[in-house]
Amino acid sequence: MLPPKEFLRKIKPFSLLRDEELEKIVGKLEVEAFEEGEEIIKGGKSGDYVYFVYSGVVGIYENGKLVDRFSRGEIFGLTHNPQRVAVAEEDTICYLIKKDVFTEIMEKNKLFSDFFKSFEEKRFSRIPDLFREEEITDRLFLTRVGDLITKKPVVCSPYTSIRDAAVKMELNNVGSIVVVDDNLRPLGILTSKDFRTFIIYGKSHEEKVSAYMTSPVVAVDHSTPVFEAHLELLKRGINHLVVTDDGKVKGVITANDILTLFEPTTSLIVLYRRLKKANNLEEIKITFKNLSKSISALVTRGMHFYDLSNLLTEIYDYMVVKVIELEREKFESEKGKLPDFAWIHMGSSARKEQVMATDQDNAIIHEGDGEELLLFAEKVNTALDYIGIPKCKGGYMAMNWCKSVEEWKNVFSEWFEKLTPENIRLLSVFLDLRVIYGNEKLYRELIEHIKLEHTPQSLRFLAHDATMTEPPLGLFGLRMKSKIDLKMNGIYPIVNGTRILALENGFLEITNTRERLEKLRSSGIMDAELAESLKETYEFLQDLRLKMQAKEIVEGKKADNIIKVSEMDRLDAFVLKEGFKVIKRFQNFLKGHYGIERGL
Amino acid sequence: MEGNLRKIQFLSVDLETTGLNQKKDEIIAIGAVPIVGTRIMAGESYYRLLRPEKFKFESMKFHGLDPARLKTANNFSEIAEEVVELLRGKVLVGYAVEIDYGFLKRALKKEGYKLENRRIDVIDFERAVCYILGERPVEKMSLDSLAKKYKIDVSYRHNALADAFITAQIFQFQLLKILKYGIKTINMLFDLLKRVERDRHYHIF
Repeated sequence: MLPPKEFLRKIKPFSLLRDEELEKIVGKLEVEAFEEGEEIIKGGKSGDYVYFVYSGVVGIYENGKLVDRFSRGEIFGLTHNPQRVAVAEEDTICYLIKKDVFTEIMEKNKLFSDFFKSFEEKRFSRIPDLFREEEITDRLFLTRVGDLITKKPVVCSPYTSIRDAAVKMELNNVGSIVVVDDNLRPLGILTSKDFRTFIIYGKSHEEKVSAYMTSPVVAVDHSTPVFEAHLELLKRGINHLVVTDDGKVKGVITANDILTLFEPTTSLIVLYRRLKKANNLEEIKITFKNLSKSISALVTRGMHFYDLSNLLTEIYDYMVVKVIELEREKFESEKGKLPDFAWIHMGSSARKEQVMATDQDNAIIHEGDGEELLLFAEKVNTALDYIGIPKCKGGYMAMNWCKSVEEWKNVFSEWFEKLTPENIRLLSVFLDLRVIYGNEKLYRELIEHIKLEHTPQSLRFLAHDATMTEPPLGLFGLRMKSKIDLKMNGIYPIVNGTRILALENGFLEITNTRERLEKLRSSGIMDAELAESLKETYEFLQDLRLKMQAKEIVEGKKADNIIKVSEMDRLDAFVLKEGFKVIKRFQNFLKGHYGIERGL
Repeated sequence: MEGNLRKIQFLSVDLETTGLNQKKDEIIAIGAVPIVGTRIMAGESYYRLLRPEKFKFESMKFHGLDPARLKTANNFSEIAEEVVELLRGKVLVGYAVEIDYGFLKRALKKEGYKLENRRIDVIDFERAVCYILGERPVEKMSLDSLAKKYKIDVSYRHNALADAFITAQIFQFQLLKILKYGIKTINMLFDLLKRVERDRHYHIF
């Protein structure tokens, strides 16, 4: 066996190949060394090979201009473009794979060809799924019960009083308590069913738990596959399973925990239900905390941004409405009825693109009587902060932005007229608006005004602003840049550019970036190919950002948007590079569209 | 240009033997990878297990070869002609290639063939590369450390073919370096190797 086979086997997408397919590739493999400056693919020629970079850097040039760059582990030359030449930028070694062998394997191996097809069609979000398929089917069989434990076990001794056990359960917010001996070995378990028995037959709260616990307890080792644990629960008709490690209690899992594994979104539904039942800030706060954890888990299990943000927008909205209602009730019982108003969100929440709740972005529109509302806004902002949505550092909150609809109109008119950098920034913040609660009419009145007031000049300034931050240049070899800010360099250029087009074309009330892109496409403003690529790029960037955030939350670190190129998955880096190219194209489109190629 | 390095047919060879004594020990595996100029023809690789006359189990263990598989393999005389064809007209490349060459020459002589190939040892070549580029040679000239220097993946080793391939890759990197330096023909390369070897007797570097 040749070393290249072992080497290729470890590299995506070759990892998708079966042994005999790898054998076929290696069986006709050539390895060529190119001197710096040497042409690898000459212009106009259709190559016989697909190239895999083993070491060095290859530049792709079109009309003398660098359009792409490839380094170790990357593939080029699959599609033929007579305008393009490939040049070794430094001494470079490539694996040369015969094109006919390559296409033959593509025809037979669907995953492998899907990989290249997704890539070519810029359906980036599908790519990770190709490598994940196995994980999903294996999830139930490979996950161990130990992995499902989310809390430290709540335990007591058999001599604990029923009262103390109940208090301990309440404090820890759990549905069962494990009764253990001095060595943490489980003796029994006390669940709500046992409490029912106590209520019927019990005499005093001082009675010992040993009298009521279910014993012996059903315990499984932490390495037991979830699949088996599930059978155990069904067979015995119980709801709680004690998990042990070397005989000692490690935690408790419930049928619900297993259910979330079958259907990951179940955990969100459970939390949503809990949220509906909540009737004070404290309960909302706890639910919100659990929500963040569930989201991290969903992200790590490969759920995508669009699906998640769809689900979560509803939940977050509901939560905010609940907080507003609770605060309103309190406020009105003290100070009387509040005047009509609309509670507005800006930013990612307005765009229905919030997955991890970051900070507050809200404002109030009223009819002219704002004094009481200002006080009320402060209460709501504080309450939201309390439940876990921190106050906005930039101060974009209702307590600072509580204006009558007339005042709002004037403010927007002024922003559109005086195009200072500060006003451009404010426009980028306040042009994404969505009503969360209250009188929608006020919001609509403002939107209609904005649609009339914006000027071609203001569009140009906004477009200029949106195209100023280009994706990292020299981006072609991402490795040239050690860190990338996904938000600044990737997400914002798409969001901001799309918003301007929505404003220009009169559909600002569509706030979601994806829906805006679809609208731009269906109305013929943007060609289908660019719109689709942008949608894909946008989802990929958001997915990548989510994965980072989820990882950081799990590790207990503060989440930011900076990604280190050296720590990135090769495949992600590969796709990111393509995504940046799409953004660059979008920015060029904007520059052309608004006539700002040579500045303002 | 006569003897253009880019056109020369090389063959990276590696043998596994029952020991280092050319008089007593036998070849048990041949691995070879053709190289045309700077292009390694990995797909045309050659690998044969050979049945030795007498077994030496300590060595088997080291190579990880299965004695059962060796028993059913050909013996050298059955493949001698094929080996002669393989080597014909090629410049042999190897790690400590003189040892392998000695084994091959002796084995072929027994079958009535005369072996006459030019040879390049990647250790000598490495010294030459360092000599002209003013680099400091790697501490220990083992196959592993040479591979490490050129960032070559060595996750799969201890098989004559795998080693021949790794050697070919080292050779390819070295070739690229001297091509850049302006050494374009095979004769220029041999002159360089000779010069460096001669200088080695006067300097230690």
